[in-house]
Amino acid sequence: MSHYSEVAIELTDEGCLVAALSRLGFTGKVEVHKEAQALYGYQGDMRLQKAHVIIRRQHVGSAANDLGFERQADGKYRVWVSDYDVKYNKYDDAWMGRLKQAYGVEKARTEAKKKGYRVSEQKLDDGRIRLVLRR
Amino acid sequence: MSEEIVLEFWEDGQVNLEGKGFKGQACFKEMQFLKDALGVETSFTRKQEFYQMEVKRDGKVKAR
Repeated sequence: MSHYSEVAIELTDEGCLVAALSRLGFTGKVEVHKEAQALYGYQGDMRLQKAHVIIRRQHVGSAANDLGFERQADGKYRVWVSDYDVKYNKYDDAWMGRLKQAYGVEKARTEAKKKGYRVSEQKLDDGRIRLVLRR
Repeated sequence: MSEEIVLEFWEDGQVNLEGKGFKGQACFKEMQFLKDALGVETSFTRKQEFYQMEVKRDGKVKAR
């Protein structure tokens, strides 16, 4: 053993973001675009915000608005979620935390396999997900 | 002890990484690709083994 590190996860990888959203129940419900597309509100009204990765409102929840992830110039994704969906559909900080958790697992698995590691995954009772990398 | 890296992902979007079985700074080098891929390192703690020398043996003896 030699050291511990703690890292705050950032969303930068499109494929891992889509895989993370699938882990949260959005399999087959995620749109991916090369150019950012407009987001729409619950009444079908076009919003000013655009995104590259989109979950349309019918999949988000009751009376929901589109949920979007817009890729920034620095490669990080900015999340567009309406105040309504934060409050009434629970796309709040806790949901964002679970999304980053799922993203981190997918990203670590992807990068570790590129380096030749064997990866095992375990879900713990307190909600943590543990990956063990060996080679 | 074999070398392994253990990652624990919390539901708040934090992840803890721990290297096991590495000697010296090999652990630091081996885990860097994961830190780079995942995000921003917010804390770093060295363990005792971090200060152990990495001994390389090539079987050669130099005579004076």
